[in-house]
Amino acid sequence: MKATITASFLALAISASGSSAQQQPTTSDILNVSSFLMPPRQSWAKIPDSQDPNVVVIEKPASSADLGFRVLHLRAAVKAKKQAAIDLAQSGLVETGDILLSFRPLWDKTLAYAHMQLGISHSAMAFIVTQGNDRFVMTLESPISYSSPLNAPEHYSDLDSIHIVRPTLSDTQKTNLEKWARLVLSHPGRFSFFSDYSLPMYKRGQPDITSPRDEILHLAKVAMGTASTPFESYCSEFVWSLLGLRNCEPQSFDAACISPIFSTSGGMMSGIIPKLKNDAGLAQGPEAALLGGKIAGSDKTKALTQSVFVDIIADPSELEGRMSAGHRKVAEDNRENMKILNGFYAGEEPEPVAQAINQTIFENVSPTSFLTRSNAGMDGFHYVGTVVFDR
Amino acid sequence: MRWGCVGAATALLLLLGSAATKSAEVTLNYVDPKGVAVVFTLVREPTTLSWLGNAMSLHANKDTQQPVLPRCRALPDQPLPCMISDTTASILATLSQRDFSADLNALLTSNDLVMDLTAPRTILVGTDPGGGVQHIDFIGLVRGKNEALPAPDAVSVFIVRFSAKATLSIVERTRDATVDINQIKFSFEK
Repeated sequence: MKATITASFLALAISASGSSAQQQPTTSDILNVSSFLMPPRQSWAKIPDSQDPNVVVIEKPASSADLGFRVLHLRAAVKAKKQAAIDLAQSGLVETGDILLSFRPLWDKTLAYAHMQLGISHSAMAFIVTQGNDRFVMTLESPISYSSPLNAPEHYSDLDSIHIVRPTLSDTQKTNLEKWARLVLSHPGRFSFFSDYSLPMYKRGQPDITSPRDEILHLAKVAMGTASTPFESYCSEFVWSLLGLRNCEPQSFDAACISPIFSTSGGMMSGIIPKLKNDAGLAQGPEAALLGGKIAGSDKTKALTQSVFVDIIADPSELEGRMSAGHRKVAEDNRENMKILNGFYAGEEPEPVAQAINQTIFENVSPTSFLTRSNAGMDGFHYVGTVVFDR
Repeated sequence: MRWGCVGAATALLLLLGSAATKSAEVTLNYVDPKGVAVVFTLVREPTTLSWLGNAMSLHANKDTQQPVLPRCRALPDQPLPCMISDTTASILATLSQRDFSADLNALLTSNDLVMDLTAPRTILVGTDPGGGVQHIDFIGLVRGKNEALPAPDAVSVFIVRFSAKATLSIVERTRDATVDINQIKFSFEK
């Protein structure tokens, strides 16, 4: 019987090999995910045509609603290779200052917490650099060891898709970010990774870091070598803090130049804003996507209470191939909060419940925050596209 | 379940179709996520796999022709995860060629590795131009004894590879190119 099964597998392969080879990629199967994970079309950046034939752009709309992916198809052979960074730079579709979000399609239809995070596990910033004749995308990220031309094996070898989100930056601001990146990359030992995403740096008891803005100042001091302690951050804190220095020139640094990228009162994000009135909270990426996709009213409520803020998979062993133990634990720790959020939406978003939720969490920034702001049309963020390696 | 597996088989067909003229890799996690759990469970207990081989392994369900793990037939009220995709069946058929538990233990010892219980599990099936299985890579199965994984979703650079010829090896993933930070130039430095 074993031989029978192997034979059937081979027969399947043989029948497949008999089909005509595809010259153009189809829209990627791995992006067949729930529509609330897709960015609204109204949030998409205007981009030029790809300048590199190795990067093929195809739109992948949702079956309904005004949502979808703009897929940047790269060759499978360049995944976790420097050539991917060269291809993307050559295409002209990635710019200095763009935010790269590690997107995990396998988080779809799993746990409420994973849904709330829009399947995003990590954030980094992209820079276009040259080395000799090569022009490529160089990342800057926390852990600092991930910083690479998209080839750090611990992260990029098993990363199947990457969202690109673009903040609105002037040329001067991009140059400033480059100068900070130069300082950071020249002193990697001053930077370390902090793994508890629920505890932002300004709440860790460091006497001179008591507000989100202080985190940005601390990054500047560490980069310039005037701080006595390292910059210990999770990925999104690092990207957010770096963006907060976009108006600052290192050689003439004055703390007055610091400007958080989010236009919130404290600079980071609270948990939830009822009806998304002029703001968006950490939990509202899916809601912002749905509203941006013209899904409102009872349809929106149904999606949020029956598809988003629900655990779909109950068997832990089934999650092993979808997310790490660390992410599963965070999801487990937040299970009750997800039920509260489900009740919040089921109850037509009462203000007191939102206030109660917000009092239980610190203002914070998650990797998902950048796409949430883009989904909500806030702070000049736009979705550029999603890289997959399937050609 | 049946629909899921039918869908998985279709996905496999498409994946192999797009790689018809060259070697390719299929990620089992997308084709059959439940199969990943089944295979990893069995690989952690290689003696189970040898039993699988001795029992002539996998049986096709008479009604659906869907591969079914052998002892699951005795548990009609618990069909999951007994029904598996063709890809998972092919992986198990390859693995059950022989008992590799001693080899795996020896590899762990000689390479200073330990079983990893925290990383996300990924199974890659390498196929030759004809679509046949060349190797099966287990990612997140082991890690270096002193390997520090820097973030929650980091995965060890060490992979366990099982070849179609039933040999076991460790593959270390490394950067294909390194960047000298002193050599790269940002736009303001040109």
